Amino acid sequence: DTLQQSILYPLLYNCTIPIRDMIVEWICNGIINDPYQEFFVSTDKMVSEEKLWYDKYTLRVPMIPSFISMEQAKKIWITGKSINFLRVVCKDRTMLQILKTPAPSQSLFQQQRSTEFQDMIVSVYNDTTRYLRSILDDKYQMMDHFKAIKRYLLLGQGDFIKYLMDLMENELNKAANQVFYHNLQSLMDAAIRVTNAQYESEDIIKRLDLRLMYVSPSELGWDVCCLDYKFDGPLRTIFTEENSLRYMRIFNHLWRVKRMEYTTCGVWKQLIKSSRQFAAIPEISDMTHSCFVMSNEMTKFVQSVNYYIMFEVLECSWSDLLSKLMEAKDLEQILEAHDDSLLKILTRLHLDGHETSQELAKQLRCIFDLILNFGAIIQRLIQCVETELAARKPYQQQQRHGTFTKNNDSDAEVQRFHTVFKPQLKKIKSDFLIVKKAFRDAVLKFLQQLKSHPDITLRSLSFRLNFNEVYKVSHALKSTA
Amino acid sequence: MPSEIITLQLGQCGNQIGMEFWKQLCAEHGISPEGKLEPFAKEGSDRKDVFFYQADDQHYIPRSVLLDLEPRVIDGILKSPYKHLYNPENVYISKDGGGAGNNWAQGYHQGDKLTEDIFDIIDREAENGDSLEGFVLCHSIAGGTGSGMGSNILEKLNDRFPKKLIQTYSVFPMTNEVADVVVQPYNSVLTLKRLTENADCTVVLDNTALNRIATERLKKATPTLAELNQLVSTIMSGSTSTLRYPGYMNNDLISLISSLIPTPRLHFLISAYTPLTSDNTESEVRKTTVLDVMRRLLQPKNVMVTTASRDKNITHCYVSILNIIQGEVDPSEVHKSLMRIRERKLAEFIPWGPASIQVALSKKSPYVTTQHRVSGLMLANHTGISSLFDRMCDHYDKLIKREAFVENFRRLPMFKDNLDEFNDSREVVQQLMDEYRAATRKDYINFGNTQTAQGE
Repeated sequence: DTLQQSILYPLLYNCTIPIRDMIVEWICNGIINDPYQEFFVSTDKMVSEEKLWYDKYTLRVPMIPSFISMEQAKKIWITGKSINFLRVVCKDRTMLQILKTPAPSQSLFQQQRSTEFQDMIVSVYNDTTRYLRSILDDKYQMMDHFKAIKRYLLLGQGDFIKYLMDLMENELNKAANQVFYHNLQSLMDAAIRVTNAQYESEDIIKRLDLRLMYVSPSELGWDVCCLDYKFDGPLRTIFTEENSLRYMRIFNHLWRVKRMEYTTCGVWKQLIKSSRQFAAIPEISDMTHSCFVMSNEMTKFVQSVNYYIMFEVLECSWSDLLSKLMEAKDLEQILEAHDDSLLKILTRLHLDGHETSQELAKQLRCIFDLILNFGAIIQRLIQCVETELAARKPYQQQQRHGTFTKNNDSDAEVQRFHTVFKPQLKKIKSDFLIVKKAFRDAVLKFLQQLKSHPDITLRSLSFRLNFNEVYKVSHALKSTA
Repeated sequence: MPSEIITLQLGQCGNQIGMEFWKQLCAEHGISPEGKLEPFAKEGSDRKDVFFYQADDQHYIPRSVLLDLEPRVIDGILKSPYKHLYNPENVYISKDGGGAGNNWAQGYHQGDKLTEDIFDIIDREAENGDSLEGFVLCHSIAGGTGSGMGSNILEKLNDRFPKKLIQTYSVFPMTNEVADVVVQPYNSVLTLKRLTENADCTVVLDNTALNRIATERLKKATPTLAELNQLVSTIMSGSTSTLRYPGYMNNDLISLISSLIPTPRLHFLISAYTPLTSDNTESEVRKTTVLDVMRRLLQPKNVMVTTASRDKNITHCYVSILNIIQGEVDPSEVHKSLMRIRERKLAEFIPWGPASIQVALSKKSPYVTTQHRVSGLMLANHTGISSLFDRMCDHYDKLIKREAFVENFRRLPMFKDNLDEFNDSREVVQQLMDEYRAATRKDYINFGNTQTAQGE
């Protein structure tokens, strides 16, 4: 009623003036003048530039007046943060705007009567965040760097990645503590010079670097080597150290899967190119055929994993990220979009620390080891066949020249075949059968584990791996896919 | 630079499709017919060095060798706007200039005689690159040069470059009873033996299918040769696009083909492309989706090989499928499309090992405008290809039974004493067909045992 109003109104009016002033000072200049700690944004002077956005300014929720909504408070908070971010981190001291007429104090607590306060908040927020966005896009080429991350840390620049891996292979096969940064770095420089990476802008190339993550001394170079992309300035706020570590884990995983792809291609090529020699020894044709079938199985496995990674993990999260970045108005939303996409990638690569994910990761490593094992067996097989064919040559020569004596020479020949070649072959065959069974079992287990993972996208990997349903996966749990 | 590929264009057909291929590549990479980079071609993310190298004056030269036994087609190329594109030292026309008379044996033996000259060029070109990945041979198998000389070159390539991949784009003749070239079946079977034993991967281009597609597409009764070759160049450029635009997958030939080819003999691939013909009526109403593209690629009318099987007891199936999709694609659609295809059983797969449709995304040229938002190429290994070989063998068997036209071959050294070469080749093709048919069954995993039995 009017009596209450006439008492309360001047009280509220006078109380709101300092709040109004603090808000205006904050959203226009990013300054807090708050000797009595009344403002709902507080500042921590000890925070570094890198953490400015995250930690320097806190929203003190209990101090938000009841007539200011959470959404408004957030916008206010972000506006002031953005100004400080621009000044301190982006080193941009452009005076953005001077509010000609700040909203009067009564408009704060009489919002149902007039939108002056809301309008003021929103317009300053829009102007400030738009400006910050333009600085990030134009001065700091934010989108270019996102794309560069996709090309390098997420292996999009396939020609560079392949060449790099070829160059580094020998080095990475060594034990982790024998792998040296300067060796790898010169290899990386060589790869940049020779592939399409050489056409990148200087700014992007100079940020590429290698990092060696030390996990444990028993690891190989493959496990510790990562590509890194160095950030500075405002982009460091988006690509924090924590995010860098996430990218490194992602890179390491993708790099390993790629390595498997090249291994299976290499095995395929060796087998195909040796088929003529295999045909010269008809006795081994059932064995070599089995090898081809197994090689095909392993190739298909790795390929399916890789295509899953390409689409379900990388391309999907990328297109998501792009659309969110397009819609994002303030830096907070940009950070969220980026964090979201990173987390999505981590989950879909079963790197999120979830228990089932860890099991999957372990199982996949096991499968990869078997593939490497198979590669070694194939090497031995080819070596064995080549040795045999070379050993046959002198006898074949003699046959052609008619100097082949039926008794001694043919006996020796048969002897050699039975005492040298056959036992070697038998050993190779039994090793092969062990790997074959282990591989099939491991894949079945992997498929089963996939089915029980909570993430629906990860479950779709089993669909790709078993598209024509040759693997009979027992349903320990009812799948809800 | 790593993973270069040398293209060998052989004979009339080979040079014609080669020419269209290079035209297409120049357009995609913004290279003028003289080999210079066009001023608008500033975007540097494409890889020109797989197929081109740069001369001292910065202009681009195809890593291509043009071979023929008669001058007509190559002369045509050297009079066209692209005459300055090719390295003139890589053009070789036999001094004899008489061609191979559509006779495989003539082509083969002339190839023998010209081996030194030809391999001088090939060796030089191979040293031009840092790391040669392999060779691509373009030819037809029914004439004389592409088939006979092609066979010879294939054998020698395999001997001299045992570690390099050899891929062919082989045009198979139309399979009507009355052929233009009467000894076509002989030429085809003799060449098919070399393709089986010396090539690592053959993309089969069936002239019957090409004609059918071109006719439907252009609504003309008889499409011109240029129009047919355009279709071929679409396939060739589509299947090399991931090599020329780096991406996450398929950056070299080996990763493209290793998952398509399970065993040495089963390396004959079919191809399909969309949009081609009457697919477009729907796209006027709504946007083309990934599912649309993948579905159409599985339709026989878009496949460049006629694989209609006459054998009712066999269900032919896919050993592997790769779809390369270019354009505006929503990546989340891929998984849904795969599920839909499996649900509706739009493709039948082998029962003896894992097989699926793999979908790859490829970037496309910023300089070539296409009418369509999304386009797709399929490369697949389908056991039904054996029915194509079957029809070819039918024609062959009828001829060889009567020893018809064999005199033309007897004149040449390989066939002077006997016709063993014919029988041997026919045997190889038979084994090829048998293996494809065996691959439709679960017991294919034991196929090696039957071989062992045969060997002993």
